[in-house]
Amino acid sequence: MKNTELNKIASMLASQGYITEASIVMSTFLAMKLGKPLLIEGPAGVGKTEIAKVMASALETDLIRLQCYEGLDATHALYEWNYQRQLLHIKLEEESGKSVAEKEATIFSEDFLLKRPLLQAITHPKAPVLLIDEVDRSDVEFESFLLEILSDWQVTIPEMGTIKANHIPHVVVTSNRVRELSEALRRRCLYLWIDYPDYTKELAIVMGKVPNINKRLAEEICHFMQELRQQKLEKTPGIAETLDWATALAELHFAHLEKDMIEQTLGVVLKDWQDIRQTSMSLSELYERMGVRSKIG
Amino acid sequence: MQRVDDLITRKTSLPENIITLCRFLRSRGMPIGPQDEADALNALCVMPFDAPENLRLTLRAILVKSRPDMLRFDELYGVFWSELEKAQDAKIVQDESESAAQKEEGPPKPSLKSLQNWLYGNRTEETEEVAAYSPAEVLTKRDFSTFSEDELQEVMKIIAVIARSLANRYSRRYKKRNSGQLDIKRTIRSNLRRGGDILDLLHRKRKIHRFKLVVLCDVSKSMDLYSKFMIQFMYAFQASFRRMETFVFSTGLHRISDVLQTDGLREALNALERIPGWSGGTRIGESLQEFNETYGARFIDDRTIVLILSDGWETGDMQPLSSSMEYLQKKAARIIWLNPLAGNPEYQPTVQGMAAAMPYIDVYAPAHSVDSLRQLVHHLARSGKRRFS
Repeated sequence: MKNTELNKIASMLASQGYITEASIVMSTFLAMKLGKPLLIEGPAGVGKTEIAKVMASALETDLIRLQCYEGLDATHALYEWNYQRQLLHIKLEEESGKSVAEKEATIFSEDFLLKRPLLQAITHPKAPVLLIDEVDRSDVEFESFLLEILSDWQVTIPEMGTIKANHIPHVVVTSNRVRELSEALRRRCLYLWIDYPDYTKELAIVMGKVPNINKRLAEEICHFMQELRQQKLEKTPGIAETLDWATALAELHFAHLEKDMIEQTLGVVLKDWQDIRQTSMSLSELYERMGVRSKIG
Repeated sequence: MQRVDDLITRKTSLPENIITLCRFLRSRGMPIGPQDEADALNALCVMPFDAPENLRLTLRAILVKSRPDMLRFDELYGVFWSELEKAQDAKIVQDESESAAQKEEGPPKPSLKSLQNWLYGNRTEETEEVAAYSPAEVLTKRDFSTFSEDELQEVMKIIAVIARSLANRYSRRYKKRNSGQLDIKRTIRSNLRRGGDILDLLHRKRKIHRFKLVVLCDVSKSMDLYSKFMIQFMYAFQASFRRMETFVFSTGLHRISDVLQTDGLREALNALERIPGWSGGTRIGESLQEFNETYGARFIDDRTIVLILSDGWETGDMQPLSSSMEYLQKKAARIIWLNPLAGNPEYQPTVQGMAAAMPYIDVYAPAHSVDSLRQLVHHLARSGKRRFS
């Protein structure tokens, strides 16, 4: 990968402390070049949201974020009228003798419009990065609504008329696969799957983000995490957990992993009591396998 | 004799080869449309050509739309280029003597055979399979166990199609109405204390009444086949429920929801075969008990429909079965028990296990044919109405 633009994105990602892979760089590059939304799927805590942030800083533009949740509807995503302010304005204008039409024109102007993320993204002076986070948590109805916006890039407000996008935003959509997304949405996007990092990548991330960590400790932590992810767990720990754990252990000035210590600090890595119980029971075995891995690698 | 001649002729330009690749992937079931082909060609213009890996990465970023497709792409991409090479050579041979070329190749591996057929422009099995869709009517009433190996593949496809259309209809049932409508009564009442000016607008809260679904499939020897169809059928309903969890049990309990969600149906069915004790004996009671203890608190509440598929041939003690069924009945919105044997008019649910479970079941229905799976959707919808309207 020698191309300058690709390189720029790769180094952009690196400078944000994001350790990347060729496929991630390529997808980000193509999404920006072709102006298509980028759909990123993968388990929680592998840095899906980070991509949008890096894209925004690479393009030197703003990041507008729409966090999805169950029950999210068009008003919360697009716009609302500032009803209270409109009412106040009418009261103040009562004596002014303006005609009804004039009054109406003022209260249904942009001053009284509360822009929500999607409208913000459309009316932004420079094409922003629009992050639609965890779209799988929203309802199917909202997804279809989103589809409409993503293809037309215009919003019709009955009182004001149609607002067309100044620039088409760069869109990043993330999903944790809580619910299967519609074919139509998938078809419109470029797709990127980010998995848990392999050992080398994870070690690079730990060494990069926890600067004063002992190298041996970092290696052992990463080996242990790789083993742990092989287990059948309810909530498989992500990179965030590795980093929390590494930071905690580095703070405590440990030089390498010990079994007791793992047992005592397991709560940093595992967030489900059954996982903790199950892991403590098979800890000896895990610890041994980590030892073997460390010797080989 | 119909031959796709333009596929066999040697392609010298990259764009042509890419279109061929797109069509090949599409014929392998990947959802690639004209827009994707256009995108792929557009990407060629912006893509840096300085590393050989870039072409694969570019096409992967554009043509793949989901994780199961990604796995498929990785598998097929290499196959395509190496077969393309061969196809171009083969074409030259074929021109000289068509039949000789095929004999020389020897019997190819089954996975490659279809690709080769396709690339060499032979009439593929696929075209014949599509034609076979029409007599599907007959297939829908027959018991799954009476099908031959070939027919099973066919039925699997039909089920996928039917399930998808039913799932769409089912989700539409739950479309929310009146979202964001003003609640006039509450608005006036709450604003009275402000001297009559309508300051706060109260909106009618829309009801979210989507159910969660827990599917428990018996995969003991007698049930193996039915369970596979059932999982295939319910797979299409993933998006229709707020949450869907799938478990299989024989002598132990296994959760397969994660594999289903991340790697798709094909992988999940493969993974099933690797489960130790797959198609062994059945301990329904103990498996249900294990489910209740491990997952009950998390997955079962009064908006959960529990779907159990089993013939009720309990080989163990009856006590765990009735006590865990009682627990489920108390906590879940509804229990649907599907029994493939129930399709037989002569069958009476007198098997010990079935008799123990019977008092706790809300809907008892057959699941032995495509038609009975279709009926299941009515049961799912009705269970929603009765309790919460």
